[in-house]
Amino acid sequence: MKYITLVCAAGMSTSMLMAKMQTSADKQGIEATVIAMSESTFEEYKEHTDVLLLGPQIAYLEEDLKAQYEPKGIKVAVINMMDYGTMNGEKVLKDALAMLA
Amino acid sequence: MSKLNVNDISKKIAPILNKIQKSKLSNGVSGGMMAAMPIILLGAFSALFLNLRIPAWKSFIAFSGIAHALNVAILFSTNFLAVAFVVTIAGSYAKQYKEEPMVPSLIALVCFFIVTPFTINEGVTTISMQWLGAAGIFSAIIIGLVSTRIYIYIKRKGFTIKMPASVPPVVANSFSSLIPAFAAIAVFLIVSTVFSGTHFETMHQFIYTFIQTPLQGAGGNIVTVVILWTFAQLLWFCGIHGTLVIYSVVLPIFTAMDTMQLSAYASGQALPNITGRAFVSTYTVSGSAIGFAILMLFVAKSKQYKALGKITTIPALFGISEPLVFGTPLVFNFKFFVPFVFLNGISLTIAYVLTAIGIVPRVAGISGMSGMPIIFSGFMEGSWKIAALQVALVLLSMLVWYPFFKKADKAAYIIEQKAEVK
Repeated sequence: MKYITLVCAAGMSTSMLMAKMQTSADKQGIEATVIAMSESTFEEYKEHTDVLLLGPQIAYLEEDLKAQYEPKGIKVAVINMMDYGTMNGEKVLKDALAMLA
Repeated sequence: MSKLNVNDISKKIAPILNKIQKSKLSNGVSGGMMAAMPIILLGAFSALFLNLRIPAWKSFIAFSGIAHALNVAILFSTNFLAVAFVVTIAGSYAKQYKEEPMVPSLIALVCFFIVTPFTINEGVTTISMQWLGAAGIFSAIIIGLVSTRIYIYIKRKGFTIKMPASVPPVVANSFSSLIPAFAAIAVFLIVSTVFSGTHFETMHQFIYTFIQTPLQGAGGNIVTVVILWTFAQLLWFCGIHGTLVIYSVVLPIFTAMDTMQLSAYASGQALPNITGRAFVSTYTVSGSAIGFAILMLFVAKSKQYKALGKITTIPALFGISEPLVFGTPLVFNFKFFVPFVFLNGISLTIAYVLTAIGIVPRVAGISGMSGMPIIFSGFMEGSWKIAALQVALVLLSMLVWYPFFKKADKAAYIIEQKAEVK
């Protein structure tokens, strides 16, 4: 089971993308759990995450979050802007899983 | 190529944004205001139901006692917001320092009332609610932050009563917070005493006169608001959540203004402000770009823009502009720079003028519910005229976006045609 967490400023726009990613994963029979939350909530999040994806509007936090979470084994990346804007769940899922390969 | 630009500029602005984003003060205040949302919404909906302009409804609620109940709700929500904020802001600020929020919240609450005037008449002690609502908001913010900071500082300096190891942690903890708590309270006891000797009489009056009133003046100044909301769009153009950045600075003052507005609305008095958070949210839905989404959906010739219209329009109607901003994309897209950056300012100016001359009524001050669709939000602010103005502004945005949209759509269409011929 792969755990993917999406974060953005308030959690609203990423939750739409999250739903699409989860649907795409289920359709392809991929064992992945995709959740979304605000960045401040993630700081207190205790469950396991394999990949942390950032909404492009908080891309400026990438360095900070990489420094904080990559030592813990969590892969951190910013979601591609066009994929995010067009809510391309399938592509974002594919890119996320590629990071774990 | 757009991606390269976003990363470069983001990296340059990143340190500054990080500071704002991570600022404990800013997060403490906005986190605290968010936490008080149930109370804010209670007041907003009570005012809404109280003032529905349907005569049958009005007599029903008056006779059934529901009107009285709604008024009580408003009395202890909207008109009690300073008290709610002092508790939530103190707690939220404490959490920024990874401290347990309950004790700091309690201390802040006590400190707030220590500087609040009371009268004793024939053995009965009474507190006026004058400073417990909108007028006390800035005071509440300051007290929430200062008392918590003192508490944490003293606690971390180690000026605590240390219990021997055999004492259970729960007991030891409550003792360790005693001295820090007393320190914070002592400061405000001194403040209270000092002010009672001045002609301000209370800290609340002082803060209100010197901080809240001038800031409310700035917040009510349409030029300031237009500049801020245009700057927000500039940040969005750079791929940064501009609205969030501006709000982290502006939220306290806009909340105070809206609270005052809602309080007046609920009691049927004249509405004091034109601008405020509700005003801005009502008239700049999705960065004034709904018109663009509609054009793409219905008028686009190219497959590219038609597809974009399909995925961006519904979210945009609900105030979710990310598909528009990141999908078109509007980020670093100079084709659309002019309408994207300047339309907010234009919409706000028009709305302000129409409201000022009385054609459109002032907004009630109900806000905080992100995701409320356009037109509905206009009605909620008290009048069909507000909803109508929202529609008029969307039509205006369609006009302004049209030339930019047409040019881009045409270019895309030609490229698509050429590709098909090949």
